[in-house]
Amino acid sequence: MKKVLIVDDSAFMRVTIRSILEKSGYTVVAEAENGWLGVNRYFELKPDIVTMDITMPEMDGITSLKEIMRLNSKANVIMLTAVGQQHVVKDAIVSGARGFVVKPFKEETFLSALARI
Amino acid sequence: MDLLTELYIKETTQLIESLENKLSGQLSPFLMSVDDIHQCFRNVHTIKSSAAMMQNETVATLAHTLEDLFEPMRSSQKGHFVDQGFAELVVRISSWLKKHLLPETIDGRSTQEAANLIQDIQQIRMEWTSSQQPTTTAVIDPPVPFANVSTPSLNPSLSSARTPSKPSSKSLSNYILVNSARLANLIERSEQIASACAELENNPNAFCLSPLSFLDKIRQIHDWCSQLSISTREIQRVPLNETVVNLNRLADDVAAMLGKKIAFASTGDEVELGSHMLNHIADSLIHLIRNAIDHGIEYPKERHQLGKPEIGRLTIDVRQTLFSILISVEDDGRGLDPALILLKAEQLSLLDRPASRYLETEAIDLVFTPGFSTKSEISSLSGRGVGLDVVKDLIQSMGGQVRVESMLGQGTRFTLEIPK
Repeated sequence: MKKVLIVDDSAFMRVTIRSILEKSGYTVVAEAENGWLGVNRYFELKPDIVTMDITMPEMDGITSLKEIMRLNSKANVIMLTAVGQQHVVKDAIVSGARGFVVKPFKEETFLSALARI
Repeated sequence: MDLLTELYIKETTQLIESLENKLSGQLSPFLMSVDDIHQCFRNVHTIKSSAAMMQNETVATLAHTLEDLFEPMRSSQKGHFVDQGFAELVVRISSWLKKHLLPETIDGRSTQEAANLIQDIQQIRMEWTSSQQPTTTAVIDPPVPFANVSTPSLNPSLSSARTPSKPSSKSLSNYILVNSARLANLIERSEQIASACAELENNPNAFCLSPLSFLDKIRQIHDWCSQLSISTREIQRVPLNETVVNLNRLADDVAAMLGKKIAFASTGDEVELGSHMLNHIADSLIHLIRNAIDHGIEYPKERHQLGKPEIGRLTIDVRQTLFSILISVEDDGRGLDPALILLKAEQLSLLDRPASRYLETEAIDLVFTPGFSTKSEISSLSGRGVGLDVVKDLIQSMGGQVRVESMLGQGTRFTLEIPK
């Protein structure tokens, strides 16, 4: 049972992702509404996987990804990017993201990205 | 209506209203603050994503075009002037959006309305570009309906519609993780002080208190303030041990990657560092560990031939003295060869006198010279090209110093000394 941390500033996205994850047997251990809270939760809970939105207040997804990778070089972070953020994808990969999914995404796409980790 | 749809409507409406509030009621050109710009951008961005997830392509496309308008404003440091025309347009768009959040509300007429709004946005963008707004440089492309991007592959035609800009980011060095018990203590202390002061202020008899008891109260408040000050400083302190545990895993990773075998040990005192310091030091320690495993520790076969145990030892030792904290990274590998170092430094023209005039210890110190380690380290760890010279600069900028000691064939030890 893989433990997942959801980091996204939209409650709607968090609930959507949560429902997809729980239907497929993942356990959502926490949600965070910005990157800074996300890094804190990661530090506390050490989840197996993190789903990370890019655009967030307080601390954005790339910065949070880098901080999580510093805490744990083996962390599995999947970035959720939106259309028009191609320049960010390269940053994410270089910084250690294990995958990315573009919003809007279909359930199968999201799940297969997770399965590839 | 199912719960998810309700949440979408509720959250998206809130975001739209927040956008409206920032821009409505403006009668003349006004300065949008940097924070407001970022928030508006994020709001529109989220509206776009959520609408797209709910398969409302029209709203998503409109939001995307509006996002493009806010995007160039994000790079301004001091805020951005916007005029009434812009404000009115955003308010008009907001009001249209609120009525058309659900896909079923979109028909031929509303699609046309959306297209008109998009044109109005394009118009404003052109005006901004031609009036030399410093931040707008993007080529304006017609918006691509979201139907074309339902697959995860990134649609290249949209990428030309905006210039890349840095997302607003704060690094962790501006934030600290705080022990909650300490924070509770801090809050309690502050409240005690606040209520004692309020008591004195509001007590009509305060002036009638005897000088002694008045002084007592003041002393008590003063005491609490000192304690508050000390506690606040302590809150910043983080035990080093936790970081060292992470470094252990890092070391194991690096060793595995490089085909070496290591045993990691951490020794010394339980030390707490200010978390700012910790962040600065972390990069240095990572680099030293990598160096030790990469250059210091020999391959298992080589070690066997030298009569050394196949598993190399990597030790991190942390100690504190009265005034400083000493962190050392030690390996039992090849050690530094002064002769080889001098040779390399000579070839790189880094010597300020003939090689023969260098003491062994001075020769070894040459590893800190900028340009000495010329191997480009492709690091999958931090992706940052931190060299020993950078480590030295970083530690010196904290008021500390880095030393290296080595015995050829036996090992090397780097020590960071950081003032408390």
